[in-house]
Amino acid sequence: MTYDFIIIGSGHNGLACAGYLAKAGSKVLVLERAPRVGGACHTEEVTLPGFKHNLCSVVHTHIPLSPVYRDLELERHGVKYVYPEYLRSTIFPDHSSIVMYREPERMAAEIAKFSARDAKTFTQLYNDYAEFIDSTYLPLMYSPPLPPSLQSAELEKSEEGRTMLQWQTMTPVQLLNEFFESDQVKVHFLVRLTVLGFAPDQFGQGWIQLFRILKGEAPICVGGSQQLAHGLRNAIEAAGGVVQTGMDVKRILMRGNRAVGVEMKDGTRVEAAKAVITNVEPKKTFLNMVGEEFLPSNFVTRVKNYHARGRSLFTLHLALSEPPKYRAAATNPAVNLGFSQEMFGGTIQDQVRAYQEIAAGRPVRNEMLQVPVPTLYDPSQAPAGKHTAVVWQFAPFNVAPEGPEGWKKLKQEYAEHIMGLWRSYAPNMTPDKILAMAIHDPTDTERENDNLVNGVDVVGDMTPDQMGYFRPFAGWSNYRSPVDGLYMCGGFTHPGGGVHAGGGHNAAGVIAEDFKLNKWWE
Amino acid sequence: MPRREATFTVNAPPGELWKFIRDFESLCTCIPGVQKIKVVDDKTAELTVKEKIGVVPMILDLRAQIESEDPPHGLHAIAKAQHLMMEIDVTLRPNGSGTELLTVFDVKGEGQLKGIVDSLFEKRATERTAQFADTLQSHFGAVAPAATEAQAPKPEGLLNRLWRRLRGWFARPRSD
Repeated sequence: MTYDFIIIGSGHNGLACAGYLAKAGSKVLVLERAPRVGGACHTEEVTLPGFKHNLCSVVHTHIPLSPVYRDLELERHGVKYVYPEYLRSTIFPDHSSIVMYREPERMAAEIAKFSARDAKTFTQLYNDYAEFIDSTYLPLMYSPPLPPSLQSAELEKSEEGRTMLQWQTMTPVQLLNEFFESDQVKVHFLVRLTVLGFAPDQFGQGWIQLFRILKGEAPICVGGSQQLAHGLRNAIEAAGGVVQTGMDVKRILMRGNRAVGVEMKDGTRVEAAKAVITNVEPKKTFLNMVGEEFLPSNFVTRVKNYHARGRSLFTLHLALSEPPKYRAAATNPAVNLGFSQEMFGGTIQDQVRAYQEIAAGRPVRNEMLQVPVPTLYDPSQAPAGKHTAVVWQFAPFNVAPEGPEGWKKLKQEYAEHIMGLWRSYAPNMTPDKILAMAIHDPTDTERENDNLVNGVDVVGDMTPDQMGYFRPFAGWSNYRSPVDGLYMCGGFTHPGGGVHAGGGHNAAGVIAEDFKLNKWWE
Repeated sequence: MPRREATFTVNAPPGELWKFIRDFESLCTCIPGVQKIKVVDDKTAELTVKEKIGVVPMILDLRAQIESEDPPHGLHAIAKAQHLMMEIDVTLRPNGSGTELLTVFDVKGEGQLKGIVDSLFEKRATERTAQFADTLQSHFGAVAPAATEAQAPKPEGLLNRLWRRLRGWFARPRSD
């Protein structure tokens, strides 16, 4: 059997890429090892029947506004989003809180409870930079990454641009210290700046930090994250593409320096007349499926050095008889209505220390907690009147001194410890309200999806050496690879991990250009 | 690719208006954001245009060239910068004591900044087109301004209407 394009891996980027190519008239095959599509868009009843738990991604910040949602007509294919009115709450140890709003005036009013000066600064930043963010952020995500020289050349033309270049080099902590005076305000925004695992004291996240300060959104996929994958699959099949699950690709077939198809674990071969597109992380793709002998040695070095060493998450999936009620709501009732509550200590140093503990392999004993409750805004994810919650605690993959094995003896105790921490903020979360709980430590994250190496949920660290023009590797961030006819499209490509389908969209554009396909979406 | 049309009438006969728009120095007084102009020859000029995105300026060095002209009825010009190309069509029609101008701007981002350029001009094109019309009308005296996004032209022949509709359809503005 021959297809024009074979996509390995049905994570949402692979599905998006396949959708574009299928709609361009190509014969497309998506092969998925698991019995379901979607990769990290995974919703499953892991506690009790009727309780739908999102095992990895919960919020799809960029999807509803993305070209992918529009171009592939995902709404028509059953993908719908709800927008929580109250986005997130940061709750401090003294039970004061900041609720995050998408409207800048409401956000500034919330900040003003702690510092009038910080509220003014936020408003000024919003007035000065929100339009820049709006005009550039999505276009930069949904196009191949810019060389650093090009970005710098544009920004260094003006004083304001040069200021942004300076901010670009700073750590999140430095930037927040430059902008704000209140510890609470800094903690609130630091949570946003570290959301993709970027350490608070790491240099060079770039002006993406401004986006995270100024823009708040939390669209939830109705029915659970898996629905996005289902919608993408529907779009592919409506365009004549084929998606097969339970297909374990063992290797990529080579003819000379050209990828010409794939071979499954059972020996079945499928030919690709034009190209193979991998949605599988670099080490497995290039070292296992292709083989070093087909690759330039410097590329092999880059692949071997691709890293996923950042923080992971210790996760509790809960079936609840009622939603959490926080002590903080006594002074700020909107806290209980927030889609997600975040408890990260009282100062930014608490987060800095937590990241240092995690790097040393020590599970953090104080709260580094984020607790989304999707059912507050999408009741379809639980039986009537009931709720689901996911409790995330920042955690290391390797527990010193045993490594990943250390979680076996620690798992239950740590879960109880985390529940205790959470209960100190939300006292109604007593055992009688917890109908069932599934505990997933960082090793479970990798076991469920081995693209998330070391439980890093963004498919390789989002650090300056692996972002933008350097993701996955400098010189190969254009979705092509040194193997002719082998392309990359996953979260390990620009714009990185998270559910936005940018990698799939951008790879499809490059492939369409290389094979002179109809770029119907332009 | 952002595309905008503006139809408006100014209080000057076609010959006078033609002389004004055909002179780069005077025309640039009506183009928003022009910081600098250097006339290269009768048909070519180099402009520096600043477009602010919030407080962050985007500075464009454009080379504008008149590709064809039919004095005093119309001209077609192309302006190119490192990351964009702009096509400009201007048609002049006598209208009572004044002149009706139909201006069509097609802006297309190019290369690695295509997405940003298209996004920016999509947001700004309507406003800037209206500013151009306002300034020109202020210069000569206004007659009922009308600047709209992809506005339908005044009644004209069936074939012309069909041709314009097809052009408009294939060059619809994008939202990203």
